[in-house]
Amino acid sequence: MSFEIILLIIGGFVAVVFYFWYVSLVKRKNTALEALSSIDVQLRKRHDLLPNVLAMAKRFMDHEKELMERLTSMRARLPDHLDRRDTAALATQLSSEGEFAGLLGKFFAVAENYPDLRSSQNMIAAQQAFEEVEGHIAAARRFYNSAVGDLNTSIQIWPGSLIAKGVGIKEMPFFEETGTAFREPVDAAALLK
Amino acid sequence: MALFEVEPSGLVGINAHYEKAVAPRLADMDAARREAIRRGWWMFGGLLALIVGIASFVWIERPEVDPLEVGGVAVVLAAMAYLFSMHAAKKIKTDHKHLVVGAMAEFIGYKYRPLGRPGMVDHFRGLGLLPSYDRKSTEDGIVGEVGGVSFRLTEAKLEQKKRSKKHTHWKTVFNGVLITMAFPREFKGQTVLKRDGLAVFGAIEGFFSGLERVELEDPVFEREFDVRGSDQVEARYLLTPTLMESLTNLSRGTRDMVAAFEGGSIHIAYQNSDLFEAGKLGSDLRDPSLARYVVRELQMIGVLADTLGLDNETRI
Repeated sequence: MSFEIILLIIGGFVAVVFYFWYVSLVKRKNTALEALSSIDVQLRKRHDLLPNVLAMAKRFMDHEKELMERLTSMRARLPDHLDRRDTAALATQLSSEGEFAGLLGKFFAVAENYPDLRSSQNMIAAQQAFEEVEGHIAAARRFYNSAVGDLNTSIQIWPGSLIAKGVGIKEMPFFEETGTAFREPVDAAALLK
Repeated sequence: MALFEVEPSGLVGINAHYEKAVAPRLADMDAARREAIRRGWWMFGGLLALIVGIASFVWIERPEVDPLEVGGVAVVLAAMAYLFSMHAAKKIKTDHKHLVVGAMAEFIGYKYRPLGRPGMVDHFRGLGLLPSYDRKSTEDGIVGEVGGVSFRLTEAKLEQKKRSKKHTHWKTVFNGVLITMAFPREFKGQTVLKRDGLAVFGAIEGFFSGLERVELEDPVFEREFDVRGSDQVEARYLLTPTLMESLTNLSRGTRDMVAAFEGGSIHIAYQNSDLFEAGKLGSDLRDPSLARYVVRELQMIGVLADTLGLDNETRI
């Protein structure tokens, strides 16, 4: 067998390996984007909950004006859709969503301190809807993080890194569980008054 | 003899119920059982004498026939004769089991159907939780509610017809329990958990069922089950880390457990030789130990719902 033929076979083999790696990268990227879409849907549901909840709470939670204003302004800053192209912008958006979730969780925890509000049927329904949406977001986040983990690993391993650079596929950010607002200390004495 | 010396909590009044609904019929049933066994032994003795006589005749008159073959046929016929002779006694034992399970289930608030629920077999088979079969039988169907969770349960035995060159026989491919329980979360799609087998078989099955492989982050759960679902997010919404741990524990306490989420319910199947065993033919029917055992088995349904956290507290 001549040297040219051997070279051709090796070249062909390498091309096939690169092609399949490329296919796998594209598949992983699409799975991560699909997971991102499902997060997007659930996040919109979470955003839509806020106006109704605040309308109900306004009548009872006079002392929590600051918290409600923070929620409203944070909600206003959140985009309607997550950025699918710019990974840096996406990372910032996901982090903001985490902060927003933390603050919303804190709001519901504080609302427990207002018996009239807590026993309101509308508030009970809102709390249930919030828990359901959070359950779906948690599930979508697990799907997304798993897909992103697969994608990032395949990009970091050679020749994935080379192919990804060539075709412009970038690593995607993980969606962390909660923002810092949820970790803020709760004033137990005030809640137990 | 009292059913329980100290009535378990949550079962106050069960002794009185047993005394009223079960005990009065036991003396007559036990007398009938003893009489049936006595007649059975006489019948078996006669049949055995006939079999031994014919076998001896063949052995003496036809020396060319292999004595081992004659002996083998005689043993099989003797076993059949025993089953035939004891059929009446066995029937009484089964009636006793139906009486006890029915009464105990009624006390707890369940409905008992001795013939089982054959419709559940078809449903579970449709979900891919059971192997294909040529013959099915069901028994001990129970319907009820535990901790606000509605459930239905049946025992099922499935057999496949196997043909060899000489003869046809029935092979048991499933012998166990099927349980359907209302699930406290709303969902639309389908998620199926099977034993983690060869990936290639799972992929082929997944291709035909239209369900995608769902890779979950719990390595222990992943080793136990191959999860496929119609919706990746929904599968994770249902299979929370807590539920995955509960299902892993449940699967270790049972044999070949499989499950599916479909139609607002969780469907679970596992292999188990007999849920409410009727007991030995020779055991006294007046002995309340079978009833105690039945109560424990019925309470296990509540334990199962607790293990999976299916009570209404978790409903959202």
